[in-house]
Amino acid sequence: MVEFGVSGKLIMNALVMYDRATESLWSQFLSRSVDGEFAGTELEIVPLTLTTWEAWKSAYPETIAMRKTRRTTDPYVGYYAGRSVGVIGETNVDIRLPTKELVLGIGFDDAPLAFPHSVLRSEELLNLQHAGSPTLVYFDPATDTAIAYKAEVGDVSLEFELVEANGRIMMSDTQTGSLWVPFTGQAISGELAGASLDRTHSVNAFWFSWSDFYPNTEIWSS
Amino acid sequence: MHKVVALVITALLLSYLGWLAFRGTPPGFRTIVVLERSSESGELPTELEIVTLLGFDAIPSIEDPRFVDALHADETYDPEELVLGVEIDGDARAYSVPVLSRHEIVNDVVGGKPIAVTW
Repeated sequence: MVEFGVSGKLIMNALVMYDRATESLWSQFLSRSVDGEFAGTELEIVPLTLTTWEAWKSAYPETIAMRKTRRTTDPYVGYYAGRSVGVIGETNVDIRLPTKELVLGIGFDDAPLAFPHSVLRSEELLNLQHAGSPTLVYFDPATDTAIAYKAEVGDVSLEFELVEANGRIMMSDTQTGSLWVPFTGQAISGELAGASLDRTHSVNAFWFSWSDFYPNTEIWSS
Repeated sequence: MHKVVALVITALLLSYLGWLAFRGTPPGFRTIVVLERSSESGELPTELEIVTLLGFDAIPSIEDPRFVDALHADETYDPEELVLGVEIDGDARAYSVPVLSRHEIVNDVVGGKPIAVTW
């Protein structure tokens, strides 16, 4: 098992980690080592969800939470809301979107595609083909949570729509009418009950950061 | 004479401590690394500039985090507080983003899998 520490270095404003075994450097954004003994090695991505405590608890009632001693404020609250661009500014200026617009980015090196949160806010659920795979993007406007799934079970592609069931927002697939929990991608009733959708590797990032790493990115528009 | 020797030794000692802190790269130092990045759709930057702002562990990562159940967590987590949530094999965990902002990395084992949560 390898532990990671903060190297104090940045690549285009993004975190560079070091591993305590070899002191190799690792780019968070690119999920791979860029220098040292491990250079070129890729990290296995584990899907995370950026959301609110309340929404996470609702999706996973049995969850545990990292202990903290008191209520905390985020030292970067002013930064998130403000205009400043990282510590060292932009590398590849791309004016297609405002610098601090939040985007959901998928595809990465293979086929970079950014979904602006401002667009997702009005769409809430998107079915699309991306890099040859059926893809589902869900956005919860109450918490600004954006999640991307592979829209398939086995070999079967699925298309989804939002429905209300027992006062909850759920997803329903048009193929079988099964009901799925948007936050977890799990089917809880219908023919596909028990199935779960795999997550598509994604990141929620400021536009300036995504376009720095992927200057050739496409931007989703309806 | 002794003062000069003392000064030289102090200077050497401070340099050594500085080197220890930064592993040889002083703050502001920039190095270029070259990556292989394949792309179907176009050019990706393959020369990346690594900028050194601080030394290793100037921002302390978290190792061996402690956890509480949701009920106890409500004492210190606001409902609207941002978290990074992960679920592996039924083991669901939330990491406070305000805390992550101060530590940037949490090393943890979730569902038996060693992971690094990074912010």
